[in-house]
Amino acid sequence: MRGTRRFWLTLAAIGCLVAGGGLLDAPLLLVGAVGLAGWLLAMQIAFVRGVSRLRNELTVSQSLERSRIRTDVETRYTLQASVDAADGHLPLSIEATVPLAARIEGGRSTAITLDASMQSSSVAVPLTWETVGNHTIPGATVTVSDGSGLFTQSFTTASGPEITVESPSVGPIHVGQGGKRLLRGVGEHDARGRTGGLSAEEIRKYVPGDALKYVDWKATARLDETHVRNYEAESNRSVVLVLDHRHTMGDGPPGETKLDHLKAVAAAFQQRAETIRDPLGYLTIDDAGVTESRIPVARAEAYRSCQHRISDLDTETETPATATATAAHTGTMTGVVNPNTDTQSPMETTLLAYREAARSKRHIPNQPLYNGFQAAPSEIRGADLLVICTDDNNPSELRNTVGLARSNATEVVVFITPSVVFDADLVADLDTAYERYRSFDQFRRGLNEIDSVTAYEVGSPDQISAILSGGTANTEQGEYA
Amino acid sequence: MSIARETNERSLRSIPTVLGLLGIVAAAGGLVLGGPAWLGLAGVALGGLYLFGTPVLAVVFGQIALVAVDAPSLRTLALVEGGLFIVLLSRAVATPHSRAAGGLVALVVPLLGGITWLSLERWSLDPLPVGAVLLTGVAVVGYLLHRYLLLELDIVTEDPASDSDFQ
Repeated sequence: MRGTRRFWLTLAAIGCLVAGGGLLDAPLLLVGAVGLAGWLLAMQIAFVRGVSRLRNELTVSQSLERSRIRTDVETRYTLQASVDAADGHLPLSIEATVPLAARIEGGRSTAITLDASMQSSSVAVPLTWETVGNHTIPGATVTVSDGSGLFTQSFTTASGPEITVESPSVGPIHVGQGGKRLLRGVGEHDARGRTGGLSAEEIRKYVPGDALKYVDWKATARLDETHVRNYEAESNRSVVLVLDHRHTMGDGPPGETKLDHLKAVAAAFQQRAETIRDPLGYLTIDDAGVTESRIPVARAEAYRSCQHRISDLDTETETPATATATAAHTGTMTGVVNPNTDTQSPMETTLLAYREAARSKRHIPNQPLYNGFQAAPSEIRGADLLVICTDDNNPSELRNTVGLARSNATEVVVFITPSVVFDADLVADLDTAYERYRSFDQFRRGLNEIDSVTAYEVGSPDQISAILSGGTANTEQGEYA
Repeated sequence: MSIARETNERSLRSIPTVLGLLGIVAAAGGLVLGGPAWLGLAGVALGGLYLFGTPVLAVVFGQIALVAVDAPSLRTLALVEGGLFIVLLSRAVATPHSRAAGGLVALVVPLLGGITWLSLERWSLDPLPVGAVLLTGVAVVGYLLHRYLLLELDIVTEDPASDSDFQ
């Protein structure tokens, strides 16, 4: 409870009366002071009682139009308050606090005032969310004052609704093969991981060939016939996203570039991994090399980190995070293999140098994707599922990278944005575009033929349809139509 | 964008100004009857303070004016003190929970005033110690009410160690 200025003035008046009564030896002034103090006390008791009642009678609700939204999209926030009191209530004001991640359009106020005669009130303001993540509207602050303006009291209501803000979408995305859209959700995968447990699925009759260890002896005894228990593998495999954000990924109209499309695909994998708690890591590469990498872990902060990284990716060149590490892998046999050479014998130094030379990796000029992946930590290279998001600007580099990835990872999925789909003058010469698309598709099929590698094309469905429609006139091109 | 406001209004019952003015008239009348004629001006000042200032100041001024009356009679005392009490009561009635607030003022003010009067007139105690004791008691009760409200609103807990943030 806080006293207002009027409260303190009243106290001062009481003090003056007491002092005057003592100095002038006038007991009547003291009587007046005690009477005023008693009045103040009575008003305080009435206020405390009124606030306690109001707490039970007041209903404050905060709501958002949507619980999931993309950045820079407007949503409506509503603050409602009602007092279920038949015989009036103390005047109050309610002010909502909007998270820092949100912006109120037009600087509108989120406060409402309920006079003693008002039973309900509401305010609705448009909010624009600027930061990706999960946000909660904090509880509203209720400030109650008494009718005579002597006291105020503030308290906070329960927290408001939660909202998930996601990175902006590029609209409909074509993810498929040979012009046909992928039916399965992006990011879904079978349980083919190296790790993970088993969960019992069903009990069935034994058939010759079933392993004895799967015989369910209790069921066999109960049913008087041999039964086995089927198990279903639980997925818990590490997923690593390899995201190419070199300058060529900026091709395409603003907001619908190659990178924008691949960011949407990567975001789908991130969300999927978070949903099923798959360990998630990522590796981002631009023209200068690796810009950031995270080894796969199944922690909330790892999912948030990946989500923010995907959201922040652009085609501007960043300072390579692992330039030093990359450089270390580019040398051939050098004399320095261990900083603690003082403790090694000449024989050890020589042999270790040979061992390092054997381990040293091939550095290919102008292939940052390949070199970056090669220099990545083994946890990234050896992921159970490796998702490479890039374009077809340098097919040989991509082929090398996929080959290298396949030799380390269990499964590789490649999402490629065909450059032809993002060309501005595509419509001008559909025949040429179609031929380029065919070349791309042959390349994609080549990747697809590698064991445990699946390659998809990613692009605008309208553009791909336009290219394929250009090819329908040619009978030879009917395979894509 | 529009801001939507929906209100359902109800009316409050009483207008306390009439009650307060009655108190002021009674107090001013008591002053004029028991004191010199110029105290009529004090009555006008009381009315002005009530209408344009605050009732608390009117009560303080009325109490000071009463001291100016040399040996006031019981009738004068009753009129002035009763009038000033009605002024305070009128403020309590103006609050939303008028019945409860008015009842509390009607109970507490005469109680404390009566105790003070008894202490001074019947028991012949010194004014200052009496005032100090009563005001200290009122302050302690006021503080306890403050703490009670903080507990009631879950702003603080019963564990004093965790009372880091209270308003």
